[in-house]
Amino acid sequence: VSSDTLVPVAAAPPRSTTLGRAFWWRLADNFFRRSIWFLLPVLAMGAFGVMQALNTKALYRTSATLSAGSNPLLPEQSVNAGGDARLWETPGAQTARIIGERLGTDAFLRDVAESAGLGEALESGLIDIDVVRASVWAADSGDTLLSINATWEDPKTSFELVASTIDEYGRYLTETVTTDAVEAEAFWTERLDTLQAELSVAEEELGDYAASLPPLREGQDYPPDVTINIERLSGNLEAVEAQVRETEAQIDTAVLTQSQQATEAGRSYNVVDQPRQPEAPESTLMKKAMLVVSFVLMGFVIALAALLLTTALDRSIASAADLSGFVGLGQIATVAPLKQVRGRRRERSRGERGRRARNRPAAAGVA
Amino acid sequence: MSLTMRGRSERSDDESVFDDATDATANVPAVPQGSSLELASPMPRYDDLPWEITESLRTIVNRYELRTADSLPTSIAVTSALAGEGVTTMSQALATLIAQEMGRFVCWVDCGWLTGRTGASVAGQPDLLDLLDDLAQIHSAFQTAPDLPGLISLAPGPVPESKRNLIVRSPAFERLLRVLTQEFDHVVFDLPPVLSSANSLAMLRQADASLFVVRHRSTTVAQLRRAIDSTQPTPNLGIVINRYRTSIPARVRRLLDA
Repeated sequence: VSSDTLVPVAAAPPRSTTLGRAFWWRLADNFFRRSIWFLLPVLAMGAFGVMQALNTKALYRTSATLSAGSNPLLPEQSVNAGGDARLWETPGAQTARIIGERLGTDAFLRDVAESAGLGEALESGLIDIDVVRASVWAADSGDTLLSINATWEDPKTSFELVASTIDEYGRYLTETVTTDAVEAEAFWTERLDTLQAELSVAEEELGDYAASLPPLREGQDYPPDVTINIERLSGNLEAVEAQVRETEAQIDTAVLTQSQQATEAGRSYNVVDQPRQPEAPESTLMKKAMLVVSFVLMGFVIALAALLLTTALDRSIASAADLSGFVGLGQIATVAPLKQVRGRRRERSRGERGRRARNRPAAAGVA
Repeated sequence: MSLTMRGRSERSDDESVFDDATDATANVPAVPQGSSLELASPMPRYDDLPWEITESLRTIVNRYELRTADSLPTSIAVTSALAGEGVTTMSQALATLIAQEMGRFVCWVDCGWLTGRTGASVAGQPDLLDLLDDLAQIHSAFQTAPDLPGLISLAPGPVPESKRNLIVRSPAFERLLRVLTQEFDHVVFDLPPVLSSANSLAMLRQADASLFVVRHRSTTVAQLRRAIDSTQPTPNLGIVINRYRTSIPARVRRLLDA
């Protein structure tokens, strides 16, 4: 008996009786039996990844660096006794987070896109808002520094996106900070309009009343009741005039507050490195490689899921390990398919014939 | 060479039930030497048995004897959970192996009639009903392997469906089986699948041990467990995983074995 005829017995499953061992045998058998099918998703996803990588366009990237000492939108941070220092957020991170949050909103992003000249493309549907969202982002790059970045297929739009993001953020910051003052101004302005209407009425009443009185001769006075009416109307007029003056003062105060707050908001950050229009696109090699690797990994995940699923669903006897739970391993034997056996036997006999021919004496060969 | 002359290997001719004057088989004619009757299920020649099959069966037999410190049971029922697993091949190989390598007197019995899955009876040979009517005809039903006189096969042909269930529990049939187990060193039954034939379970009562054949990637673990449970308390010699083909490379197999 040659050593290769021992294959079926050597192929007998393991001696373990654990279910875990049976599972690994079943898994391995399933994988190697259908290896082509399990490699198929990996190859398909890899090919898809390559196609995607080939279609990847080179993008122009623009960056601007901002310095933010504090953020007027957030309360002052302090680490008191019992407070958690890990929750401390640097001004740079705060500002980057707030800009990121604003870029997550459609309203802010539309303003940015319109300022960057993408308004028409967005309206017509040529560009999706999410494409713009994925192209602009803010990231902190130190305690007080942060960067605004944008990538686009053309350098001008890339530059415009960064510039408009900074502008829109500044506008948003000013609007937010001065909200109370603006509302106060609006309130007092509305109040002023009302008071001015009341003032007109009071002046008109006094004028009409004075016009209705008969002319006085020299040395003659109005009767007491008329005098009282005149004084009452005059008093009303003066009171309204006083309110108008006070309201005008309130409006001046609100406007002044707005101006001060806007100035403070503007001081909370400043552009350290202005955005510049890029001259060359950034390298896409890494991006393409990552794309291919991602798709290949996705293929592996799909193949693994298929392998586990088919292994779990297939309950047929795959190895002796499956039977070790209810019969002794010594009671199990395996027999290879006869076709396989005959094939090996043919190979053996062919090999033996070859050996015999090689070992045959030369004389016999001649004869 | 007559059956009565061979008898059980460890028993003298005088003890053979076929020589019992009171037995109905006392006057049965002996199986002609070198019988060349055409077999319904021809027994394989020992030399033609695939090495892998004989090695697997040899392993199971040897392990059984080693484990139990006892010799192989007299009657062995080879069966499966489902049809088409290779029971006939294995049972014939087992009978041939025992006859050739152990020098025992073996009878292989085709029980395909239990489900009607059996070949037509050979012309001139008594079928099962004939044997039950007259046990003296049993010698005519035996067929010897051409190159292995110690191996006898009994393939009694088809039985009408209406009589199968009656036969299994009939005293005449039990007597036939008793005669076989008394006269031969070993009787190997080729039984239909136990999950599809209740009569197979009834037959297992007559067997000392069972041997299961399962086809790789065909029978499920649950089916085999159910089949083995249903054959309790008949001892189980082992399980042969037939047509076992694994694609796992040898290195990985070694890792899994570790």
